[in-house]
Amino acid sequence: MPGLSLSEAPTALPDVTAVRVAGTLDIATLPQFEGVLRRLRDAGKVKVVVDLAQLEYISSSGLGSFLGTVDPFRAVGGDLVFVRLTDRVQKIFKVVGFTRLLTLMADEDEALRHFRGKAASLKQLILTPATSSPHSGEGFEMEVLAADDRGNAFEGFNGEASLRPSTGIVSPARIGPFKDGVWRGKVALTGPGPTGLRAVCSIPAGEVTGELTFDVLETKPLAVLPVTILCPGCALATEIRAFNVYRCRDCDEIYFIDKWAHAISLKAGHRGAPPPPKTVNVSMPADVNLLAALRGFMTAVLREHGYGQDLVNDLELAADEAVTNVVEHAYQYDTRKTVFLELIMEKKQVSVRVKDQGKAFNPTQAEPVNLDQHIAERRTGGLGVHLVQTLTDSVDYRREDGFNVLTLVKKVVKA
Amino acid sequence: MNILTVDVGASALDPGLALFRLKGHLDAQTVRELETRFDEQVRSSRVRWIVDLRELEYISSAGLGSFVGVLSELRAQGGDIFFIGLSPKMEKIFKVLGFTRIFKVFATEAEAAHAFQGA
Repeated sequence: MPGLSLSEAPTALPDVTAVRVAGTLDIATLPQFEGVLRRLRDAGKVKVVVDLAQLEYISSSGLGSFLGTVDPFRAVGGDLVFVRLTDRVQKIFKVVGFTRLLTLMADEDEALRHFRGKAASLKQLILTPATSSPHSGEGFEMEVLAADDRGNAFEGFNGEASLRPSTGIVSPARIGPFKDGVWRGKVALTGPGPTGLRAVCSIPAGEVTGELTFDVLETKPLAVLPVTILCPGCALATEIRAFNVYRCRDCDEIYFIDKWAHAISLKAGHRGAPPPPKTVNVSMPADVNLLAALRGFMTAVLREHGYGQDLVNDLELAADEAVTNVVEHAYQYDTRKTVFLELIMEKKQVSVRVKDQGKAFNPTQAEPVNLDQHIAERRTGGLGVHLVQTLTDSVDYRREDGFNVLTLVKKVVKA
Repeated sequence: MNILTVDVGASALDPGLALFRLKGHLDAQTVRELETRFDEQVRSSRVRWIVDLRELEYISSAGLGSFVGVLSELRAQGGDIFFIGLSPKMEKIFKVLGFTRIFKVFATEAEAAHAFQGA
């Protein structure tokens, strides 16, 4: 059975190519093998997995060629990795000492891990956003890589990290779980202005961080109807008169037009519009100058989820009071500290959870308000707790793992 | 965003009355600005105040507390604070905190000025 068959295939990594070798490698078929490899190298594909599972026979001239082909790949930072050697080929390689000279691996997966670079320890988080100048409050895609000090993925990390902005609000405040050392998802910042974003994760050896500065732009203006949009499937121009779901006349693409006239395809991977998130978490520096931004963010999220004006007003005020208390009492105006806030939106109720790492402070144990006494003592504070308790249906305080956790619940009342 | 604007002047109906017009958001951040304006009036012995909340979109307890804190000073000098222009949202908060028991609330500047003249 003479003859050699070579087939190329892509791998899970874009810069790694697989070549499957089947048949016989001898003086007659060798030029064919060398030709394929040379072509790959010339095309810049220098990371190659050579699959030898179907290699039935290799002659001594074939052996020499193996060695000769590897060096040019290594010289330009690539390598040939030979995988799935049959027992027979393995034995021959061993006899001639190739096991030391060539990179031999069990299978393609192992070869890909080799090419990706195996990180030995987690030293940094690398933030790669789709844009470094996002619009305020508008989500953008970001990748966060858990990596060693050379930037190789630390695949063993599948935990969570928190996001902390230097100013304004970030959502989500927690990201994860990481998968094989990577997290990808949507992130939103508030602005406008330069904003540093720090990702932090805790591992037994301490905290690992990564940081990036964004130039947050003014909120994008809402689109004015009617507006002409392009179908994300076939780019057919259509004038739309409402922010709604459309089906393209030409290509049957189904897409959603949002308030900024983005056309979002609904076909890939999901049926109909994706369900809105039920939990939104944010973190912000403990700074009273950010209260207005926090209220703006909260009211926008609650309104977007269809809650009524009364509930939005009451929770806006209750959350402001709770965060003001944290800034004043738990953190005592130290703006380097972080306040964490979580909105849990359900059909029948909305919960706001405010967390901080300040000194233990239980606002539910405050004394009842006696306004006459306040006036006599010229006190300006101490009213907030009473407002929180009156405006919400329940207030719960816990001290958990060094955190003050205050949970405010407001029930949805049908109009 | 949503910064507080405080406009203070003499009431057109009675130059002895200070008229505060508040616009925007009054919270733990912006209350400092308001308290500075309070001090100016107290220093110049204008202690009878009408506070117009018609254009105030938001108020938190930090803002409300500033009125509580200054009230006994004003009353000791024969002054007071009368509020006008409360939206239903503000009225609710005033009631919740018992402010309606402590402060007089009127619909218009004329009614508030008249009440001061009768006092």
